[in-house]
Amino acid sequence: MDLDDGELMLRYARGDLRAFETLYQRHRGGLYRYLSRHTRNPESASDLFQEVWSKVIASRERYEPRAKFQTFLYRIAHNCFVDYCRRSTVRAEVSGDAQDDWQGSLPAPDDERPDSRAELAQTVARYKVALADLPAEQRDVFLLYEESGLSLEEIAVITAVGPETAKSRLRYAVSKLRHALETAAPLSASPAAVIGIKVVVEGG
Amino acid sequence: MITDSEYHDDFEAYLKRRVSIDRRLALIDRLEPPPELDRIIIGKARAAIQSPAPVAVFRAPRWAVPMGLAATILVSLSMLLDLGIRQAIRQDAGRSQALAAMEEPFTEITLPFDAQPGLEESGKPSLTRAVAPAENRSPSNSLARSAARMKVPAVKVPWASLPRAYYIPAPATAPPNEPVVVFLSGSARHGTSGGMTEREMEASRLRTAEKPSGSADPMATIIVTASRGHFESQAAASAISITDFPQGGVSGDITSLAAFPADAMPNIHMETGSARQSARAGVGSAAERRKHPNPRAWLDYIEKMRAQGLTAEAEQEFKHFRDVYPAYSVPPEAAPADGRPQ
Repeated sequence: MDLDDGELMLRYARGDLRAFETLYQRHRGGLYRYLSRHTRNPESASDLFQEVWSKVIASRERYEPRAKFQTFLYRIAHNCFVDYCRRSTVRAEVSGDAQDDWQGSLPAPDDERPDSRAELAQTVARYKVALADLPAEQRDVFLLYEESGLSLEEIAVITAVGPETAKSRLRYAVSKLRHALETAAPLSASPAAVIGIKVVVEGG
Repeated sequence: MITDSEYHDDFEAYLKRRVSIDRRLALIDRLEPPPELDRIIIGKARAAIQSPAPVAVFRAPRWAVPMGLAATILVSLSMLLDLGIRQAIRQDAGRSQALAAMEEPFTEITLPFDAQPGLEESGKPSLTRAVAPAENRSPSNSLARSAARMKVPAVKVPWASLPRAYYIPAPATAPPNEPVVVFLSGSARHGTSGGMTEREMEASRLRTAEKPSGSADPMATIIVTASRGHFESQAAASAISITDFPQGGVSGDITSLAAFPADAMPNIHMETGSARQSARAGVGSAAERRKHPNPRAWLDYIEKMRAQGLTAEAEQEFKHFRDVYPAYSVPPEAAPADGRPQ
């Protein structure tokens, strides 16, 4: 029987390490992606990832399951990222020092045709550029929606805005991303669109 | 070209998580934290529950320190101000009473001496008998001890009111030709009726007179001049009592001295200390006359002193009279007995 996240957190507060492991397994991927796509730097993402979980661990005694655990978790993550932005001016999103955190994550496509892999790499590159071009507030709402699985109301709570504002931000973000993906130039004519992106196509 | 309506429907489908941004992105959405990171975090979680819970330490809010300092300073200033105000009030009260005492006009009050019958029968009291019972009587033990050291009978007179010098009759039981010490008692400074300290008693005994030998007048006079500095009375006690320690009982309590009219008590003369001081200085000033407005009464008083055998005192008093009233025509019977020109 799957236990509720809040119950798992309470069990962990009482000393049940297995409960924490379960909780961690449920949310580690989404949280890590949220942070890495925000920071676009694996090292910074790892630091923030540790910071978020450390705060969750430290607050186990005070935790009260009044809201979803995810809301609690992503509120901490959102605040950590805001602090991170204050500490270090976020560098130009597509600058040379930004590393490709999706590097190596491209799966091997079902068909091993080189043109398919190149098209997929190109799509990823465009998506990444478009995501980086989003205003921070829209990108934050979009990533929360995509990675946490939270509702718009919960995202509004985390980002401290009204639900309509959150929905509007999400609408603009989705519109811009779709537009960027749909208006993709042909592969041969698109090197400029993947500036700063190193897409490693393995295999073949 | 996508119309607004189509886009709206598409977005609503996206909100319901029925569609994604791009189906191709689903293939790459597999980013996971590295295993090393997992181990670190699980290790932290394990260490947290294995170590004892941190002790909750009270942290005062940020405003507590300045607020506490401000409150401390405010309370301290209030206390200092309060102390200063109280001290000023006390000083003003003492000064005003002292001024009132200095400006008090000449007063002539006489007190009858009421000796208790039992003591008259006992005759001359011995000094030993005088001290022993007194030591058992609180609050007069210190007075009795002091009297014993001075080898004289003691008369206790509670400090009554503002007059600085007064004449009171010696107790009938006092031995003739022996000095009679009169103590002013009571805590004039504090306005209570508690006993004086020995130091205060010594200060109060400025001058004594001997009871006239063979005087038939039970109203033998002794003279006591109180030290002004020690009797800046803040409380105008209204009673004066005379107690003869030797028998533990010659007790003429004359209550409400101020309430008695002067002519009702013919045998005690009271005058202010400032008048006495001026007289010693030999100044016949207008102030002195204001303090002795009735020269005839003064001469009568001097005559009474002579009649009681206090010749030297009468001479001194007459000299004082002359200083104040140099041109006053003195009747022959009031002139000094030796007939010297005055």
